[in-house]
Amino acid sequence: MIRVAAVGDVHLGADVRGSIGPHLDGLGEQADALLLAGDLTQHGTMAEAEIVAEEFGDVGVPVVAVLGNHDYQSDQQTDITRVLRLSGIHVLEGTGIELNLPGGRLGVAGSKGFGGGFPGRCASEFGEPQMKEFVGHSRRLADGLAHALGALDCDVRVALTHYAPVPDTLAGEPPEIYPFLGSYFLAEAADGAAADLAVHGHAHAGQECGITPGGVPVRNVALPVLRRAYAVYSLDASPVK
Amino acid sequence: MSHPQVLLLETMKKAASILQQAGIPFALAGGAAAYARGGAPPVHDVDFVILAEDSDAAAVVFADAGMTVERPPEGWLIKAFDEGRMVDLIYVLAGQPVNWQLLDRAERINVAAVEMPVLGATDIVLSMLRSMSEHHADFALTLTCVRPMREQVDWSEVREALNGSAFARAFLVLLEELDVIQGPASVGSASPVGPASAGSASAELENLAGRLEQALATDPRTHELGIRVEVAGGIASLRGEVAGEQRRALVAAVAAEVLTEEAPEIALRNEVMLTEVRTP
Repeated sequence: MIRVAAVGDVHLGADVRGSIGPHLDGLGEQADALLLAGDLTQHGTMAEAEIVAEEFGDVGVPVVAVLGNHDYQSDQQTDITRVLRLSGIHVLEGTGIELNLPGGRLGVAGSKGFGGGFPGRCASEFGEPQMKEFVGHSRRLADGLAHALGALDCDVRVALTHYAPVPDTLAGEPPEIYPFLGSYFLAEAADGAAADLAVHGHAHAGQECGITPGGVPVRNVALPVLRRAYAVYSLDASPVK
Repeated sequence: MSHPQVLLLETMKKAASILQQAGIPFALAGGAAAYARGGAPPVHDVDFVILAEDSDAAAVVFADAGMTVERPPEGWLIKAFDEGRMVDLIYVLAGQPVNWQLLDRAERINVAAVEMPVLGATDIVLSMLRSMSEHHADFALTLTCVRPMREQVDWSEVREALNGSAFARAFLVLLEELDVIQGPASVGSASPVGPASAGSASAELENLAGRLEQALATDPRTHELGIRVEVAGGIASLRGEVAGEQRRALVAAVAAEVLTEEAPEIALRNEVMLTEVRTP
């Protein structure tokens, strides 16, 4: 059994410094690893990245993160990634990591992901260059996630994104903005690799639980959805492999 | 949408599928039909219209599907309860027996991912206004249903059909005063083409709400994407959640700046809440 803690959309900044840290004290007893599902900062600045590194750099378990749209706002995503890595946080984008934990080998592949929507009402790479670029960005990131998931050698496989892979976990958001909240490309990636869990954030007004068409459990761990510092999911290491 | 509303939509889909599978002709009606045509999601119950001759069969199939079925003594509808969520199966709609003509005017619309027949917009408005009485005249709720459908409704038909109803006439005056529709004089006259409200006060308020949302998302002090703004009755209401007290204040400050510049007569109401965090 591997216990994975997860939270997203903490939107840290100087004004809310220390708002999460105190809630993480008992994390090590409850979970074997912590996943951060993007929007770690509010404005995407280096000062905020330092605060993220402070809050999550030393929580007693390995921490794996992806960035969110807010972390890109100041065009400093590369430097933010570097600061987080220096503090020991594994930051993923089209990449994966394998962690040897007491309960087995946990593989996490991650990508920010992007929008475009869900079958029946989704955007396609057609028409204006801006539209092709929008959907193309989403597809490239999902391809990166699929590739990283496939390359993992592990007992339990988790897909970590900021944007949502399914509409299930968006219920509560206005339907008009679903195409800006996620893409089914991400669900395809999770299904293609038979992931054991897909974790995302981004949809503050959504709900926690959903499932992909291929049966992968999906969890929206945006802080305003969880209303607790993190959720913990227990995953069985498969006996095969 | 809160969870009870999501569950009510699930009940709506279940009921539609029961009727569809039983081969009983039907159409979505009332507030849920207004939702299908662009309005707010239903809150209290879900209405369907069926033919009177199918009412016995409908009672049987809903009971078979595990719902509790009641036949109130009024004799114009059947009530089915899906774990407490109410479905009204109406065969006399606001005093008018449901007939094939009404069902034929319904259009198939995709509602919450399921395609089903939905009453015509004009028929929805007619039924809502016909059902008004001294004991039941909720203009606020009706307005919420009607406003998003205004472009789909044949208002001259509504005027003609309901000229005898004081409630309908009063409601139409209200719609005119709010710039939701145009008065009868201008209907069919050489008025400019376009939505009834183009350039009007209400359209301007809607656009102001949009500009406030843009400002809150792009202003470097806020970068808040989840704040919904509604401008009505001289008040701009901000709703949503932010991570801390200072951000809540900044949201109000940025919105206030926009209002000072563009619409100083509009007051600001900050209903933004703080995200609570508990230790698991």
